Amino acid sequence: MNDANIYEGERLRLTALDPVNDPEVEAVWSHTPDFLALFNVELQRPTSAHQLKKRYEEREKNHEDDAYEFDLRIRLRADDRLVGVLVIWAEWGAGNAWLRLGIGLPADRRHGYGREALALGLRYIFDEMNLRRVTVGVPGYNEAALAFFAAAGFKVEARQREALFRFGRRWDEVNLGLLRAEWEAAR
Amino acid sequence: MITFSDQLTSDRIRLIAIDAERDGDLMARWSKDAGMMRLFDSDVPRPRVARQSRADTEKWAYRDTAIEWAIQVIDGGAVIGRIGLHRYRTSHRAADLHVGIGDRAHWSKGYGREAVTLLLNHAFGEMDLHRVGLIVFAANERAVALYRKLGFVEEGRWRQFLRRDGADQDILVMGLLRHEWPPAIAQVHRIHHVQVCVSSAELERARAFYLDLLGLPEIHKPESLKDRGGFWAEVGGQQLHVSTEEGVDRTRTKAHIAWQVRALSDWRAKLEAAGCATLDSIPIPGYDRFEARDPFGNRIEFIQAVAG
Repeated sequence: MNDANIYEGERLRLTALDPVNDPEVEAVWSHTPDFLALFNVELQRPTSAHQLKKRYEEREKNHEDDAYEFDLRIRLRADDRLVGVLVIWAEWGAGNAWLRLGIGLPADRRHGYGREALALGLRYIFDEMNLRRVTVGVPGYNEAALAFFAAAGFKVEARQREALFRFGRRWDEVNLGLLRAEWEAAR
Repeated sequence: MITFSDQLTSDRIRLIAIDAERDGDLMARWSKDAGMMRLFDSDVPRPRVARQSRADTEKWAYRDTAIEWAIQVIDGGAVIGRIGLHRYRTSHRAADLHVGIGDRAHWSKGYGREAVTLLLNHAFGEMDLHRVGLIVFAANERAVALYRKLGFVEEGRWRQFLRRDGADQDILVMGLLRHEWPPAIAQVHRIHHVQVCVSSAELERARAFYLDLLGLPEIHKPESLKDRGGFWAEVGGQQLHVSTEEGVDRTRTKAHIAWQVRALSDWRAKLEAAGCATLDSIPIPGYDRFEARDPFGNRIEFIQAVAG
């Protein structure tokens, strides 16, 4: 039996959300405009630690999305510091996973954390969740993310024309997809 | 001008509020048709009882990011399907469309097309959306054809999105922008030309009547049509084509062309002088008019807009 810890990479660890301590860090991120724009296509607003705590408590109470939503956090193995978010939304019937990935602070970017976290996420999706493909939706203005997913083997599948409005103008939302066979070939 | 007609009503159907109580039994019945349900959802279809259908509706249909209507046939009041917008992103002024006619007995009657048309009018005209998107199984050819006809543009496909009956199925992503609605194909936008016929023996007199008396400038007729006789003229950016046709009594038909002019009484005198008998038309508001026949029997009307 393979007893490797599938949540751990060389430098990072995928963990559960910590509803008590994570909100303090995420509240800081939410005040970083570029994190909002890069991680999320929904209209974002600066959010306090208190608001986030309440939101997480509420969600825990309802258990609503437990079966579908895997709201994970990315931490450094060295000191357990929270550096990013990885959300997987499973469409079990179809066998598809929606994935979103973000590294919170600009200072933590360009260290390869994103790449390592994505590798962990994809292994979880294909080897544990047994899904057949992964889809991401990337705002057209996020060129770094488009290049990031393309480098990981994702292929551009659809361009939802003018689906987004940001920075005073319209942008496409780009869907990229990765099939299990493509992931295995690139492994 | 604002007209206060109900935007969510067509000749045959209306979009009404979802009512979990009212529609629970109905939706439970639809859920038992697995073949139909798999057209609507990539999730595994499961039969529901009415209580579950009500709970599903409570959960999905009343959220802020979704707007959901029931499709009701006006004649008889039957609810035959659901339609709505989901993934409504307010700041992006964009949303995605979903629709389903739940009862197979009501398929292929144009209800889906009518419902989507109503919804798009509402989405662009009332909600002021910039974009309506949708996803559809690539293999659902009837649905894809309908969306294309309504102007939706194919924007890509999610490959092998699910597997059914041992075969991979793609999902098509389609979108429609505000300036693309209504689609050009949905309406004729103006009259390009009308044709008037005379016998070939009368062709020279027809040139005299239409080009000289009415004063219409002749325009070039394509080489490919030249040996067929006749001529073309222009009026107000549109065209009159005069062609030949034998053995027809033109004086017996009521069909006519109305020529809009200023100085209507001068025109009446001019036609009378050319030997065309004229008579008063039945009055209509906003216009003065009279009618006559051209020298070849074609009925014609002259009309002038008047104040008040």
